[in-house]
Amino acid sequence: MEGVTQDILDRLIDELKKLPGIGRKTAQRLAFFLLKMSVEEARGLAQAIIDVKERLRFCRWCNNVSEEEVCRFCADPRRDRTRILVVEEPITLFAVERTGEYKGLYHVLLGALSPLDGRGPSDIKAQSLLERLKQGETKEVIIATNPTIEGEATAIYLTRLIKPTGVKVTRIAYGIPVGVDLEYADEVTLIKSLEGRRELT
Amino acid sequence: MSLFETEAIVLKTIRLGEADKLVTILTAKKGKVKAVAKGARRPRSRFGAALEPFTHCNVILFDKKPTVLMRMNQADILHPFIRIREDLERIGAAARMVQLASAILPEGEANPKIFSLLQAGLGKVERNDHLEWLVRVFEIRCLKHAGYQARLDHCLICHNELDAKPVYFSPKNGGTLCGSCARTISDPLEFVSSGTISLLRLAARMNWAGLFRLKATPKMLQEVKNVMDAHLTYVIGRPL
Repeated sequence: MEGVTQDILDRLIDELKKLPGIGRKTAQRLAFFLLKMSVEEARGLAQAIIDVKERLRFCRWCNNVSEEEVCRFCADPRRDRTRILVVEEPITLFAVERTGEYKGLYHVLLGALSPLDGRGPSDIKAQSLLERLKQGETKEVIIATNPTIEGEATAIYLTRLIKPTGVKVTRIAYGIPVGVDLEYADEVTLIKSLEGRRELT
Repeated sequence: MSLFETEAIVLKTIRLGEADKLVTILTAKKGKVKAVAKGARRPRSRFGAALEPFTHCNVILFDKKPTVLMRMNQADILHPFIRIREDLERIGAAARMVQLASAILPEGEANPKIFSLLQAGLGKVERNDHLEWLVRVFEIRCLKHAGYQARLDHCLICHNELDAKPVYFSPKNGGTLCGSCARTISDPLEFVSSGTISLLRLAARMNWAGLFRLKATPKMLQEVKNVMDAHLTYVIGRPL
């Protein structure tokens, strides 16, 4: 009997260790915490994990994670259908959505071009963006990929792809984060923020 | 246990943990090293843009013990090569340079010549438009400084002077073979014209200004590329 309990607990610890940032000690602590949970709570957690894996899929239009075939942003008639904001990953979409300022549609690339890792155009969802533009509703594509070398390469590539369709392409601004001392900003960020300055009226 | 300061060029970064980066850098003092930059992915990180690939910076590293990854304490930009980022072809050329430097150098071994070569090479990528030729020259010199310079003066088997034609390049032997010796071995070979041989020789020693004045035909450039691809693949053990 002793052996059996040990095995079950060990299995839980091993599974928890697969999560990012969780080592053996943390996994043990979490496992013993779960042991003390009520059965309902534990079931709730387990069910939530299963639901995420079994019931979530990618939206057929924008590749955002969604329970339905079309995600809630694409399905919402109140959203501005003339704008598409392009992001690398769904998690960025949630960050933008938290601001509550953007009312248009999204497009998730599910990756970025990376010349250093050999990830090319076929590894991102760029063609489906082009297909969406052919519907003719879009007036502006806002590229919100990360300001990293991968994100920049992706932005340049998308611009080349979209320009011939005549749709306006914009890139989110580069610059100084709000609430910091300028003296600590690095040179590249400062140069970019100077290039992207705008007139005050 | 030591803290040290060195110039470095960022070769590659990968995401690590919640908001950290694992950065591979080519340092002037200790060659290629990997270091963890804590919190480098947060918007208000003190590293800012200093850890983007291709950046030439001054870093302070903390080397706890050989079995543990180094910690990066500080990084200040010396030259960001910012124009490379604005053009896909330039990004591609710069990426090939850092990939080659990274693949050919073992960790922890200083190589000042390759460090200066990479620094100069990235500077040229930023401003010069002959990107293909630039990358070839970089490859030829990088191999030379790493100790794999191709030998192009005579046939490596019979040691005779290379007569006019035909001449072959053998990646395995790391140099040229004459036509008759080439027939005796079964390893893959690249055909090279005499013009290409001179181009390869010049690329290893001429200064940059002279190199950009050379008029190489597209056919010669293609031959140089074939030779270098084969040689690099042999030296590194995989296609770059």
